[in-house]
Amino acid sequence: MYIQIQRENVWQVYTEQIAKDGLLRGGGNTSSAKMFKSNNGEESVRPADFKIVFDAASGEHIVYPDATKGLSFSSNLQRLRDIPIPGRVWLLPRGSELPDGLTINYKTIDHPLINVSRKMKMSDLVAKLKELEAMMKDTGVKI
Amino acid sequence: MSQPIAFPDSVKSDLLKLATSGGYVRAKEILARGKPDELVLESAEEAQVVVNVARVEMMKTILQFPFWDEDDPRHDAAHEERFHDIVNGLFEKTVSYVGQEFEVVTKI
Repeated sequence: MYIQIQRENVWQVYTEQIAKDGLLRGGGNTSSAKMFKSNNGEESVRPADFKIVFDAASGEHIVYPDATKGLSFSSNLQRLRDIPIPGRVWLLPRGSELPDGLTINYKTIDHPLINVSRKMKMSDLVAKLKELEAMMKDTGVKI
Repeated sequence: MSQPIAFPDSVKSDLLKLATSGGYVRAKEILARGKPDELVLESAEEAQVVVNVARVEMMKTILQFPFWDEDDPRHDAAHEERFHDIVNGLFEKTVSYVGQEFEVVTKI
């Protein structure tokens, strides 16, 4: 069963015992945690991470909440090493506040998934992911 | 006893395409089961077969796009883009979702 955490409760669930410094994301490079794609100025998110539906009427891609999906994070570095997820590891520091409209889903607590808590345009989600990215720090660890 | 597990539909579809084009007979059978957004796995052995498709694809990606690492003097941005697409997409999702349910080997 998947559990959803409201953004204001993230650090009550991900305590220091579970996620010492915060939540980690692997597979990045020195400039970003690679949470969205950018091709010739066109920014998008992956269907592996989000439920995306094209709305023909508005010509927009709309992202819907889905408790089983999300951008993969990890509660600990060892999990990223064990899989392994090659690339730079980024940290969402403990105490960071998720942008409004984002939430965390998880089935096993070591694999938090950041997703939308309400439907929104893909362009709005990318803007929120940029906000989130600005809070994140390069750990200097490379797998 | 099999129990469906939630799984991203786009990743399942990509895995099935790889299994079909590669002639991975057992993987094709397993991935043909269930709804588009679920995996129906009957044993840890079947879970490993599905994870192996992702591992093979990851290894192919390393061979096809060796200059993904920005610290490599021959770094190529196109290699990096393709590499991270597989790492953060098909590979990471497959090993994470299946690994939550079964003990599987994920090393590449």
